[in-house]
Amino acid sequence: MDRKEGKANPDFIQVLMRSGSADKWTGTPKPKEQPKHPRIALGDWMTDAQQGGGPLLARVIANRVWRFHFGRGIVATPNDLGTQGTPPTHPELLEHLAANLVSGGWKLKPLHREIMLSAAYMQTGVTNEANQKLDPENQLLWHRPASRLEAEAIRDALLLVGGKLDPVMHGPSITDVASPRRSVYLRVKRSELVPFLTMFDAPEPTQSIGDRGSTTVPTQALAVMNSPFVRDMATRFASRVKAATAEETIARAFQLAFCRSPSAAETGRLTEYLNAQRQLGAKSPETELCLALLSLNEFIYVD
Amino acid sequence: MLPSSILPTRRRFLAQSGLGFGSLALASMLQDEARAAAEANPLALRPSLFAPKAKSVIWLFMTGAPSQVDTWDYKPELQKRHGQPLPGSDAKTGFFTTSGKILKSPFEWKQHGKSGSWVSGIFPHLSRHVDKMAFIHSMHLQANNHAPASMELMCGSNQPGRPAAGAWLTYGLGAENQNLPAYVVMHERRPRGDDQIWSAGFLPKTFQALALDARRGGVIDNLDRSVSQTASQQRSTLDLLRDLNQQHAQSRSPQTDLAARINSFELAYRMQTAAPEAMDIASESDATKKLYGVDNKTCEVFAKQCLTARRLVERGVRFVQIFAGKNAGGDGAVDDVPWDGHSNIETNHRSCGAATDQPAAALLEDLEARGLLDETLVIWGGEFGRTSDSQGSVGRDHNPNGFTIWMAGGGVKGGVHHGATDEFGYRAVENKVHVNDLHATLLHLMGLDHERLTYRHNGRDYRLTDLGGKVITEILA
Repeated sequence: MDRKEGKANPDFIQVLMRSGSADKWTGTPKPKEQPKHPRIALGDWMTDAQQGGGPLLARVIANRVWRFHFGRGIVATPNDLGTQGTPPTHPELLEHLAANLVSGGWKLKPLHREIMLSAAYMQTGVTNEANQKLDPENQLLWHRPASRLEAEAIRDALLLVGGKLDPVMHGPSITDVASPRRSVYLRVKRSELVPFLTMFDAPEPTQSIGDRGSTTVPTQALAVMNSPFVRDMATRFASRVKAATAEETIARAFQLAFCRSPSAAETGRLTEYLNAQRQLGAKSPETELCLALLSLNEFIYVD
Repeated sequence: MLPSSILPTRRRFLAQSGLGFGSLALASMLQDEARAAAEANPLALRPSLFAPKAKSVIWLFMTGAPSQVDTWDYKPELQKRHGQPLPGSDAKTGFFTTSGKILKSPFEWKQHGKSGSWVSGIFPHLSRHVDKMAFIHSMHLQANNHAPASMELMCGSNQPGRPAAGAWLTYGLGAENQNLPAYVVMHERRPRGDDQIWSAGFLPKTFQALALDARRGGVIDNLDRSVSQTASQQRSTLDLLRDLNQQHAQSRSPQTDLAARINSFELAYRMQTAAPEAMDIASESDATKKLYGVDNKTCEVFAKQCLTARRLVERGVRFVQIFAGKNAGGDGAVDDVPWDGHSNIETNHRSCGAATDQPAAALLEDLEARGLLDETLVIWGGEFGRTSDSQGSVGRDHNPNGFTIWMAGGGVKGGVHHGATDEFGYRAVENKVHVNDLHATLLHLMGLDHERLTYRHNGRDYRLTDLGGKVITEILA
């Protein structure tokens, strides 16, 4: 800081440029004309797929979208596509997605569509020993491992099943965490994070976190077992599904929580559970049942 | 499941250490077995790198910043030259502006113990323990306001987003007791810097501190069963969860996180019993409670926190931090920065001393009596020091250029004084100790090498000590 040597002009990373001069993006202002804002120049350079940083930007975005769908990027280190990161498992695929992103005018929806219509995306979670031996880390995406919902989606899913989620789009962010609005509208206050979200790995907002963690700790289990919020959702959930017979109640609850019908064995075990809860003096065995369903791995892990 | 970056594959690790700083990643320190355990449970106990001197840390954080020249750093020049200009004074040192005129310490100073350590009159109890303490008189840091300085002291940097020392320790060593959180902080008011001073930063959130608020009785969130549920009802629910979760896992590829989540419910169930037991200070003897000052209104809150801290480390909690102090008011400080004696250092430090002295001394005495002091490192200090010249007529402003922190117990010498400030106590001048050095020493005492405890984040290996840090060997026992 004590070795100033005149004005530093905006410039770009040389290794990401086909031509050596930054003028193409920063422009050379005519006399009396306002110079181009450096941030606009930076944006122009970043999205210039011919001469500027565009090719890397496209790969980074395609990789992030892929990671969002598969839980792991084609490059497993989404914030580092350089030599310090991991090499791509499928470099040609990444190039293909990146090239389509650029030629399609940087639109994200076609990228999502292409990924979601792929055979890789449609693999089941079923595994077999032969494949397990050949590719234990599933680098070739031969099956779909269960992955945990993100913190925001867990909160939203609880509100949804409780019949309380406010699906309205847009509008200002809100500070009240008890609000039924979707988690995406909760205000991020750097110094005071939402405990329920932080607990489920909502990241530090002051850092760029490319690969969000997915930890499993007892405080999460405590929140599911004992927090007034989850119990409130279970109570509301129970009032939505309570029917004349145990079978009917269980069937409705499964539809709402898991979008499927229970197996005969599951219905049997849960009927037994309802009776046990009744005998143990539960005020509402159905609420306990609903709380149990919200606690199951199946509720927060998707295949 | 841990993010892949916490436990890199051997190939990736080798490639990176070749290109990176040449430091070893955590994974390399782990035996395969421990590594597998860490994948299933990030809090599994991990072996330290070399024999640790301490197993636990209790950090008594004197929130608001005590004045070094009114506590442990005796400067007779201030008494002699009271009211005269302070040579080299910089009015911009603090947060406000200072007068440039020397303010003497209003307290009575005496030498104590075999070491003859000078202590101001605000610590009649702690002064009996000076021969257990290793004083570092030459602490200094960059930030001159509470929130960034607290971040710097806890995380090694005043930029938000870095993991705190307690998170690093838990990441490096895991938890001794699986039924209790490994990293606990206690406070009465939320200290400046909020979550950022006990954050896991870019480390997995598992290593985040559990914060206990004294105003709410210091309880752990969601620990209590709902009133509408009995223990046997909950047990029956857990049995159901185990059955259905196992069935769910069977039809899928073996996944450590599905199994881990089944276990986490059992752990949580046990925590409901283990945690209240650990924090039940009512079960302590009357003599112990009296020793800490639980019966003394002036220091009741801190007494309860210190006693809880002892119970927690006794049960294997790794890192306990108490944000402490209480001021009588009207002396320039506010509730969340009690030691902040901007307008009257005398009344402020007398009341803060009275609120913390007896419990802190009792903690040292009690740990020693139970044979725990050898394996528990106790740290006392604030986020910075205060100016040697006055703010207004009898207050002192913030001063990050020189302040005192002491450590006692686990692996440090007693009755030693390391480093020094100038003759006015204004700036650290001799054997200056940076926050990185303090952290390097802390990790060393816990059996970790600060250069090898790394975490890969955004393309580089991060350390608690960043690129600095030197273990203060002079104070090691």
